[in-house]
Amino acid sequence: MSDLGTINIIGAACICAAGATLDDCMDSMLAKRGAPVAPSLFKCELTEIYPVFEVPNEFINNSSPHLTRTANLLRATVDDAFTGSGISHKNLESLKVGVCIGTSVGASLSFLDFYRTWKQGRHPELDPIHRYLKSNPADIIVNQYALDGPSQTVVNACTSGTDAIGIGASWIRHGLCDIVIAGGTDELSEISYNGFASLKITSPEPCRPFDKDRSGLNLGEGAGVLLLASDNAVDKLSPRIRGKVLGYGTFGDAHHLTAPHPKARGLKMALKAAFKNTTLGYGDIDFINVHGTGTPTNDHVEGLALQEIFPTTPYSATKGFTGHTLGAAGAIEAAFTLACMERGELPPSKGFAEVDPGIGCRPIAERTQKSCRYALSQSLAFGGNNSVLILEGGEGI
Amino acid sequence: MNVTIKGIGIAAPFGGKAELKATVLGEIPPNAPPLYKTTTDKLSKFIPARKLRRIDHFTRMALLAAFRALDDANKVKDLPQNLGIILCTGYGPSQTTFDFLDSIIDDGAKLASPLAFSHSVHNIPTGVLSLLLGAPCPQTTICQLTNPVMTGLQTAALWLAEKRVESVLFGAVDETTPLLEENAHRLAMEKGREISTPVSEGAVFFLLNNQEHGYATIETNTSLSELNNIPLFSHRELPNALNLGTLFGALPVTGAFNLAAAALSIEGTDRNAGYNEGNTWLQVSGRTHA
Repeated sequence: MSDLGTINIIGAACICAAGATLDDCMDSMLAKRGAPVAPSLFKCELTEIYPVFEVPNEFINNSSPHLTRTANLLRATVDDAFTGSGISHKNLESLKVGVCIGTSVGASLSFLDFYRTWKQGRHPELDPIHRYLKSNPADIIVNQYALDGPSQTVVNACTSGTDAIGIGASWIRHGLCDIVIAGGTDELSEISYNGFASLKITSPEPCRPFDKDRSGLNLGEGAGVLLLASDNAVDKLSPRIRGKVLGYGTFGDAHHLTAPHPKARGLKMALKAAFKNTTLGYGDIDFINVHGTGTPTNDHVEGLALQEIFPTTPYSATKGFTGHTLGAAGAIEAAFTLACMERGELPPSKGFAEVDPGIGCRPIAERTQKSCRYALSQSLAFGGNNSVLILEGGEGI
Repeated sequence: MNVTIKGIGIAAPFGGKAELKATVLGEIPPNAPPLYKTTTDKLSKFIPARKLRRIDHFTRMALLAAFRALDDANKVKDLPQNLGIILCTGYGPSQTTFDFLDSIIDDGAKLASPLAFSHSVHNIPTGVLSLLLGAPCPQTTICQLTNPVMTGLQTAALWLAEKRVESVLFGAVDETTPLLEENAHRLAMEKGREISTPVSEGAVFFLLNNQEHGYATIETNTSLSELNNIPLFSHRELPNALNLGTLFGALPVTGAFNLAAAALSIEGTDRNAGYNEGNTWLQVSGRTHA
């Protein structure tokens, strides 16, 4: 269904508050389990508590104290993706393997304690600096697996994970790689917690995407990874093909730095770009994993675009199970989208109860069985970014 | 997937494109600038001051270089159709990140600065650029210390090859901060040496497309043998390399400055020049010069 070559998905994994594996996450979501809690990873000076979705430490296998939590989340997820695909490191030796990872917090100079001490005129130990320098998300995977293909760390805020998969798909399509490890990763941090609180877009309650009474987002953390492969790599490795990336579109709004265009200009252009080189039309899409942060503005704009372009297509907002995992969100949700098509089941939009009359459309509210072949995963971000992936999955693969 | 440079814009401690060209042609020596700091007051030529009030230094450097690249191609008033923006950086808007930390430390989390936080997000500079250009377009930002410029160029070449865009404003930017300067010294001392080149800052933008005529063609796949007997621009001490490290200072995106130097050195000729970023070497070719 794409005239730009085949981008096979041969592995998928994620770690987030909803589960330590993609299967666990799906089970949790379909059972409507999970709730945010008061942050325990850092101290909160704010009088009001904004609950978050933390990943239990036991979910993060082989964690290294010399790396950031963002890097450790990613390493564990990539390991899980390879294990699940049945491909070992040795299989990679004759292949060109690239790494494209999105992040937000993971590329920021987020060493608050170090900075505080330095501001006092002292010379704090350089450990946090070394940890930062060793933890660039793409680099850490390149080094761990001794890869020699292209590597890129994408920092497009909350579309980063989606963009990393879209860029990785281009590398396959143009023959730069046989396999691309593509995804996103981000940790919860005191800095982003205070930052989002200062912007007054975090909720003191569990988030309620698309609900009439939604009051903001909950932050989360995690990592998501897709293993993308060329037909050549598939011929050599004979993996199970779990899906395909059919399209990717990205467009900036050129409107406002922290709010989406009121008529979803960039999102509509990103959708158009994603479909441009496929033979699909909007009506072919069976399911959409939407961005759905639970902020009044995002859900209003995204909902209006859904009403206009996909008036009958079912959609789920999954951040009620994961929180907003920022640079990881697009990749985690792409993995969810693929898993939904595999299982033929769509998760409820936890937190949604009542239609917002200002939007006029309703996300999936209860566990729903539906056979899906084509699905979208879409993300919006600060800076006006909007990015969309079209995935193929299900039994037809 | 070769791409053509249609315009070059520079905002750097040593000045802009004219100063770099005079240096690579040997008209002026590659001396250190008085300070490794970049002034951006000339941005007022392109953008009204009131629109710049909330824009930080990192983004101002990027904007000045980007508008200069468009101006160099005579495309400020008549923007290229189907434009894309790609920005690469080693550290992102560092000072704005520290401004946000200052606001938490000095005023308490309750009074943390929302402006500093939102502007510390790494893709804000590309968002500001597209906003000021009035150009909704594909835009992406890359942050890494390993080959940020080569990586960004590769993405630009792919976007052009896929016809996702017809032109790309591709830029590279990094800034100095007192903490970065101190850390650079301390990290070097841990290894038992002094830093050889002072920490610097600046921005370089290129207007790229895949048409034939321009400054030069960037070849995205160069074999090492092709680099014999052509001038090279590198921070490394090599027999046929012009090392402009003193002029540029040390910053993660030095590869973009070397690329600009290589392209300017062959402007109007049919010669080639090479440049590197880390262990990756590429060449630019003047053969498609208009």
